[in-house]
Amino acid sequence: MTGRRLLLPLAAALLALPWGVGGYVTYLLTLTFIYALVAIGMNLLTGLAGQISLGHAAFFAIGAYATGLLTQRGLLPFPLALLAAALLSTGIGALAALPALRLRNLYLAIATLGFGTVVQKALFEWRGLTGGGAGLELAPPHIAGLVLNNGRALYYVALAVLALGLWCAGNVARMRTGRAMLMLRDSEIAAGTLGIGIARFRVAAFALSTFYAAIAGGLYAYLVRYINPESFGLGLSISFLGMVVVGGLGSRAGPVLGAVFFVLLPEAFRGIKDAPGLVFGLALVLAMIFLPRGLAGIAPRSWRLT
Amino acid sequence: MQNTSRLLSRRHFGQLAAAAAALAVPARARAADGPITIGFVGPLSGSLSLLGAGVRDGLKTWVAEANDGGGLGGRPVTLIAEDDGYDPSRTVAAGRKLAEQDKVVAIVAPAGTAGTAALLPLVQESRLPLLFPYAFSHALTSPTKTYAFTTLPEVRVQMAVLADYITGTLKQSHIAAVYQNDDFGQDAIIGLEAQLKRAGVVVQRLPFDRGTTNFSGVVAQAREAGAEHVVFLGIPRDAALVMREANKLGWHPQFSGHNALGDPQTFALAGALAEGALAVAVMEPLDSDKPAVKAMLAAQAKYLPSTHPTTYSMHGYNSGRLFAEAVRRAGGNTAPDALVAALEGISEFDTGLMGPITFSHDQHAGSLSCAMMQARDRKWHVVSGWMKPA
Repeated sequence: MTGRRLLLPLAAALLALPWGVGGYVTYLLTLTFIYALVAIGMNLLTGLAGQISLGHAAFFAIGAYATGLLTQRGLLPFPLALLAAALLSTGIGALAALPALRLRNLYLAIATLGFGTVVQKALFEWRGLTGGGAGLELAPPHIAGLVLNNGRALYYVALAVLALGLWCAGNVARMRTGRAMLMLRDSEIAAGTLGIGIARFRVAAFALSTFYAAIAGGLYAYLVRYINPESFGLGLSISFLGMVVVGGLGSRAGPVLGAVFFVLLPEAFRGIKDAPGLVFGLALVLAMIFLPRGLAGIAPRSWRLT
Repeated sequence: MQNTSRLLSRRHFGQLAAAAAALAVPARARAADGPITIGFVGPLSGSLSLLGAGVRDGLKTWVAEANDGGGLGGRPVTLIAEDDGYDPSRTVAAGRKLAEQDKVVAIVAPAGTAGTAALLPLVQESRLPLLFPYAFSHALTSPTKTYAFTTLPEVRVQMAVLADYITGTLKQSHIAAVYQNDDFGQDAIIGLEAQLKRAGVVVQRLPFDRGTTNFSGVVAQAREAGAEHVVFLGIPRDAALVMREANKLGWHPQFSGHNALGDPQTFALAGALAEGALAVAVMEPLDSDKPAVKAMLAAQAKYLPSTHPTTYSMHGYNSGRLFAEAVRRAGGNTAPDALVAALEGISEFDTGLMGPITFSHDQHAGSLSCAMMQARDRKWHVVSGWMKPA
């Protein structure tokens, strides 16, 4: 119940916030929502199905490039482009997961790491389409004739998508798919004897998480409005995994808290002369030592997925 | 449920309003005679921190020197430097912070091509001058962006000047170009080829992939084709490998390259093999005897004794000098449009650290001049004046 009671004032605060703070804070919050979306997807994969990916920056990148290219070339309006890009990424994610069917945990992590490198290289080399290393500059997007050229509009779009994403993830976790994934994580043999298709659910978890990553990528492209292959490297993939772990594996609030930790904390540390990176690293270590269940360990029980 | 919404309407709304008010940034007008605050953003952490910190140190040196001399028109200068870790999303965050919270009058000498590109929509929409980035992208100034000004000649301009020097001064016509097969290399080879073609010279194209360490193939090809001059377009480490490969074959053509080759680290990597090599200079080398260079080195040693001067810090310092000139011309008015108008009036301005700078309403790329420098006794010496492509 505690979770419920906090929900309404929190929602009201989030809706009102862009009118009280400047564009800088609005931008940071939008970026937090976007990373939170990736983390929610990763949480289904890692927290629920127990698999590790080190390649999600690639799906984030596919979402960003596909959304950007589809809209800039006038092929699809922004919301549809976002969806199309996510479906494309999910398709690629499912295909990439197929050979990884027999792989688990660290093996899958290394396979996805390779995949991430391949995608980054492809974005770099496919100059005719992606602009190569020079990157892609994007004009502000439109939704139904409305130009989203101020930070507030995109903030609300990202907030709405995040709310939807949280709700869907909660449902997935509660329903048959989620329970099956959980079973896979805890004991594959037990799951197998109960007739749960191990391969099918592992691919489903992976595909779902890439869908989230791609939607987030599309939003990211229009938040920063400049994308280049270098931005989607291994460092970003590791940050995504870090968000889920620091936030709290298998918790509903965890991915959001993890994103807050990874986006807002370094910004808050800007003032510390010469050593913001050091302080952030220290905070990361301390969080893991004192909050083994992640930041969500402090959140109410009702917010856990499992 | 009803209970919850009542709670929101009374207690929480009050708290919320108070929180929002506390977070709100007071909208304060740009002070007319308080300090002049400028911003910088670049990689101060991570693998490219050498670049970001170098430019920042040069800018810091200029700020300290300017304040020692009484500031700009009596107003002290404050520099706020932000780190972006070479991540464009963080560059934009830093840019927004500088614009809104710190109320900087301009972002001066931001370092990094990707980050600078990401700042463009922000500076154009919030009318914040983005001055003299350490970036070589064609898109920064073409088409002209109202609030973006550059000083460093992009690579195509550098190649045009090099081509003129090869055909005009050296009178050589058997040219091979060993170039990195990426956007930078493509850009460079197009510029080189176009300018050589005007003199009726055809260049032999020899691309290589980034990250390769075996250059025996391209070097052998260049030698067989009878090249007397090899233009190398890549990082100094690879340039050193090409020089070694040629040396192994007992072959000693004239080597040349773009501005990255003209760095002291080329000597550390290639040793004596670099002797005689030519590089395009976009700024005076650190070894230059020009008084402006000596003064800059002395200033950095005086104000930031724990740092080392680099070509990056020279760019930061030079950017500060140019900013001062813009403020002087604007009569101390640091409003965005006053600065833009003042900059567009700058013509043939010479800081002594690079070629003369000229801006106009349609031309925000301030310098089309490069010089040639040559390696002698492990130092780079300028061997020509500042030249524009013919």
